[in-house]
Amino acid sequence: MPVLSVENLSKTFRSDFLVRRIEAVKNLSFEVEQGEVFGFVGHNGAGKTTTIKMLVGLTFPSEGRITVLGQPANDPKIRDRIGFLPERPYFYEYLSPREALRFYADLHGNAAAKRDEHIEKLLDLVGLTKFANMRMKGFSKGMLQRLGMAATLVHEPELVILDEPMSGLDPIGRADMKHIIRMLKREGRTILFSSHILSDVEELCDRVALIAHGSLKVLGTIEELTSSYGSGRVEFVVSDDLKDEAKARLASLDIESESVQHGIRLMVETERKNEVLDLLRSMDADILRLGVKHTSLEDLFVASTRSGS
Amino acid sequence: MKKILVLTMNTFREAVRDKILYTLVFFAILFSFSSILVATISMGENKRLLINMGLANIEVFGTLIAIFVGINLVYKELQRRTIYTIVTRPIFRYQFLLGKYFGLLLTLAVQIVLMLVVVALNLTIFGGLERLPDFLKALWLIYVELALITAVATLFSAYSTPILSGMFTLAFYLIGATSHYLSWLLDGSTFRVIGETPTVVKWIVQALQVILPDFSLLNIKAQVAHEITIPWSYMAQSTLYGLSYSAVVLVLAIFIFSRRDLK
Repeated sequence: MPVLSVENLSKTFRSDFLVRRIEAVKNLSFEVEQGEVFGFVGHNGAGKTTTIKMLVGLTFPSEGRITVLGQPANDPKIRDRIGFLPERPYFYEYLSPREALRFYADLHGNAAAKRDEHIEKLLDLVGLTKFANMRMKGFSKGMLQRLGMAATLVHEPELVILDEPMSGLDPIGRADMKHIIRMLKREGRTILFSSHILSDVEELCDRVALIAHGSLKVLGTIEELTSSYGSGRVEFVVSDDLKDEAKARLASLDIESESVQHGIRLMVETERKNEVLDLLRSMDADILRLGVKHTSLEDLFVASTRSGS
Repeated sequence: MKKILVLTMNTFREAVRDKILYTLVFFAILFSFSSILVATISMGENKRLLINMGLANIEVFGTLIAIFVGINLVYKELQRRTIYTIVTRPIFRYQFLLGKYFGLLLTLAVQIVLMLVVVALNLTIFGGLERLPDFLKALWLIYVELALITAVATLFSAYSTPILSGMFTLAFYLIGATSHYLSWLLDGSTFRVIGETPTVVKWIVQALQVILPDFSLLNIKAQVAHEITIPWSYMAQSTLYGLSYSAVVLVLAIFIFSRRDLK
């Protein structure tokens, strides 16, 4: 049984006195399996946050069904098993981190003795022990994000949903956040996280769903997705002192090229690398650089997003 | 129930740590002390004045707190997005709304007790402590009225901005304070010139009397000041009226809030 199942999910907002309809999410379906880190990526306004808000009960689907651990997501009781970190989390400024975590734990009905022990561990995990009794007014974005992570884990959820968890974090904060995500995976928890930072997604996720303009574009493991887009390309940088005749022959090959400092860069599909290499040799071209460029999630992201616009 | 209590105590804690509310309570207590001055210069009327001014102060400041805090009760949570980390936990929306509502009622209760201490002190010094039981009856009905105003502010706060909510709640309060004059339209005197009150007007007035709140039923300040004893049956009826009206308003607020997308 999948931990999270989304079936034909749609969300339409109405604006301008209910006249204008905005389809934020269109017929979205995917499943997240037990113990996996599932990346949810898309451009700004793609519908990531709208989808996540429906998963955690902040907004209601216009159509479709969401099931979490076999239960309908609109049943608040299931949220005892879900942890949610919103994008840029906000907290009551009049509380200290320790008070805030106790408040959230109490909303889950955690027993006081176990609650306090677990809170101390969480404060240590996110590096806020030193600030545990300070009022949150004046906390940096990074500190609030760290507290947000602790608040997400206060009831030891089975499914953890993180909306842009690296947002507002410095490199050390990002490294700490990645460490926590890996730790949660090791503990057997299921994680869904949305991010703009594709290198983080590539590094952490088992599977990725890419959405653009409210619709699912691609879904699969990083390897599946990048290989389906192409096995990569070969980069040649040749000296720009080529004869005109050689330049004309290169131009006739329909290869992506651009001028770089002291040379011309050619990007060639892997399948055509030998053909181009032979040609360059026959022209006595001076090859300054030769390298393989694998297809990245970013290539896929740009291609999928543009094709859907 | 426990979750509502957690939210109630947190709302109360917010109020306790809020400087604006401190300022209001400070002025409320200051006004209670100022009634001593008025009582001192009044000839033989000091007991009645202390009771009258004490009740009026509590009602005015209580209403101000109920409206100004009430209209922000849900709106502030949405605007600051603090609600995202609460309603995504295993709580129903009605529990959130009731927690906020009872939290404000608890704040009002504490404010009233603080002002009551000052009034009791005044009555001890100037005489009239024997009127305290009737004073408490009037105070209870003021609290019921504040519970109703808070419910209305919560309702508007659940779907509107503070400015609009404030205007609506204030309008509700003014209607409630004056709606008992509607009965004048039924006694015939208003239409004396043209004769009997038209039937259609009677129906409309009777419908409005049922729909609109009537705060005069919760106002026994004048009777208490004039040492008229209020029967317990009246207290029970008025309490039932105020609390039932509050319950209906809260059910409406919950109905709206439970269906609202929290964008």
